[in-house]
Amino acid sequence: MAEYYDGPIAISGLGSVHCLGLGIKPLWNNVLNSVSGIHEGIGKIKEETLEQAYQDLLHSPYKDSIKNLRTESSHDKTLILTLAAIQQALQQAGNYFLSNRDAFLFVSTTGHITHWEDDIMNFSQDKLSPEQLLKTFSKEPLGVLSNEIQSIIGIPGQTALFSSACSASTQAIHLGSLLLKQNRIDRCLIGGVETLSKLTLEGFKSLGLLTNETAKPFDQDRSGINLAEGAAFIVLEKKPKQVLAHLSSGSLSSEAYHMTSPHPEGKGYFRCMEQALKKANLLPQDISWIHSHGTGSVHNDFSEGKAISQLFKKSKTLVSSTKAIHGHTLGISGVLEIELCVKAIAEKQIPPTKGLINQDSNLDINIPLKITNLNVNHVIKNSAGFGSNNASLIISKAEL
Amino acid sequence: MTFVIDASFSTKKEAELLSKDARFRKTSTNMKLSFLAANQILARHPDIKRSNLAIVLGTSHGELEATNGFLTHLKKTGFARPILFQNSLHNSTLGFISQHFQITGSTITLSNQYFTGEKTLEMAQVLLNDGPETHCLAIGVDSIPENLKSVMQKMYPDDVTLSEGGCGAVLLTQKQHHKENKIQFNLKFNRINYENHLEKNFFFTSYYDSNCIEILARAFLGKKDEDIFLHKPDGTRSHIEFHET
Repeated sequence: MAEYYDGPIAISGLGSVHCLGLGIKPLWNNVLNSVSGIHEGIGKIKEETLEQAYQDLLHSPYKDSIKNLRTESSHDKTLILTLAAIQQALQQAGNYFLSNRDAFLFVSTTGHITHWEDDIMNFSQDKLSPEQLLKTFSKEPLGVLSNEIQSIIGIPGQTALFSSACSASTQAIHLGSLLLKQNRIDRCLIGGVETLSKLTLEGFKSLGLLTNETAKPFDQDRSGINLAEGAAFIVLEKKPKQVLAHLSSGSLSSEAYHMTSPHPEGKGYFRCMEQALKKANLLPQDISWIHSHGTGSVHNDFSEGKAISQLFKKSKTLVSSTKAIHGHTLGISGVLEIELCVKAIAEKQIPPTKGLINQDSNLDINIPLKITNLNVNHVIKNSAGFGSNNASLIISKAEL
Repeated sequence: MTFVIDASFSTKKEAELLSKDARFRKTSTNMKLSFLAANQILARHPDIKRSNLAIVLGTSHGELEATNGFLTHLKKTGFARPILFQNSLHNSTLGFISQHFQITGSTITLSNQYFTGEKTLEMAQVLLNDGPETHCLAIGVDSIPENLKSVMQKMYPDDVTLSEGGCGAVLLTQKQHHKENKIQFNLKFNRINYENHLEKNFFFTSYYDSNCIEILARAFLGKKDEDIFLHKPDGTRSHIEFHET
């Protein structure tokens, strides 16, 4: 077997559960029609979506393992969302069977926190005994959630869990492509889950980063982020039954600048996009669309916008953010939004940026206000996370 | 093929001493442990360009100290403390290290329970094989908040004494290794094998989930080139293939 695999890396399956429903169809339709799933500033999974995800799983290969995930009064949201998104992705890829040449790269920054955060608070006030706390707190390591999923879907091969804040899934996809290129595996299931917790909501609020309105990415009057929950997975493989798009390249970098703010000149974003272009042997003018991280926060959009304007000034490449529709899903935002990049390539349409009314005059970037019909050849997906991480991927049309 | 050219580890006691330094006033125990491990190595290798250096950091329990502090303070006062939220993310230790040492290569945080250290080494190897970085700093770190010690100990088998620590190793590509011929002792890192369904045979009394890199550091510093076999609390085992070059 050759040491390196030089062929194309295909995206062959997509799966997601989000505040707009189940799967890519409602996500894409709402993004295209600018219909937001954000209510009172956050994107929560609807009860009916969760129940539908559970019902779908009852007809999946995981049906025997999920019956205890729903009681009369509650659902295990984290596991149901994750398994529903995995089931969709593997079904579309056309093969549920996972061999030791398949890898599972999982992403979560929140894990099972909603199971134990109240108990930690009660324990701190002596309202809970150590034995009572242990019942939920034993799920604290993120790896516990990953192990639970692995045991249900039955994966014997390579696994890893990425927790690099909001760039985690974009990083995981890049590492998945490297595992394929280095011929360590033949197929890779990549994605994760994020649920909204007190820690996340109160924490972001304490930093002054949230808005109760729908986010306004790149707008002069942008006022903050809409946090959201969900799960999303994609399948990458060398010899797929069907090809939705190709993953052409990826790049990671650190800004080494600040714990929660990106560099004002977007140094990390710039370096990542530049490096991704170089690795794919592409020029800025080859890129049809940039699906930005575009959170709607003052600092992120300024930083990312500056980097894009510097690198794509001449090419006037189209830029959008779709976070006002589905919200910012933290660690899984990259994988969820890559599904939109794949759809844009297939549908030859670029969605507008909901929430944008008056573009920030400091940002010389080309943001479409309406749906743009265009032959989409290459798309850049950007992500960034607290802790100074940046990641960029290039997704390309398969039949180029 | 990857080479380990240096390694180090740090202890909770050393981290506590660092707390007296004003520069570390707002840092978590994980940040101090990781700083100490990284600082030893980077001080010995000032020639490593920070733009050519990647970091893969593994932590099983993450920033539990800050998370616990944030939630406890929220419950007590009804107010959230931004610094504790900022420090509660798994990725915040990596952010602190990259910022402190001005490391601008690829940076990743991983968390894989008992195999956190092993996955950190594996992903460091995968990253290096792609470049553009020539070196990768693999860090393992785990600490336990004082008030949760007894609870967390119960998450592990009785014969495991749950410990805390930070550890680091610098990995290098084969190509770069040939250029850096001044290195006296280093280890060739092939791969990690995972062995399931073993009979329970846990012999490390002092243990934390990412301590595989500490075991590696101890072997490196003691100039031992034996393969490392690490028994895990769930009865499985990892086997890290190392050889002196």
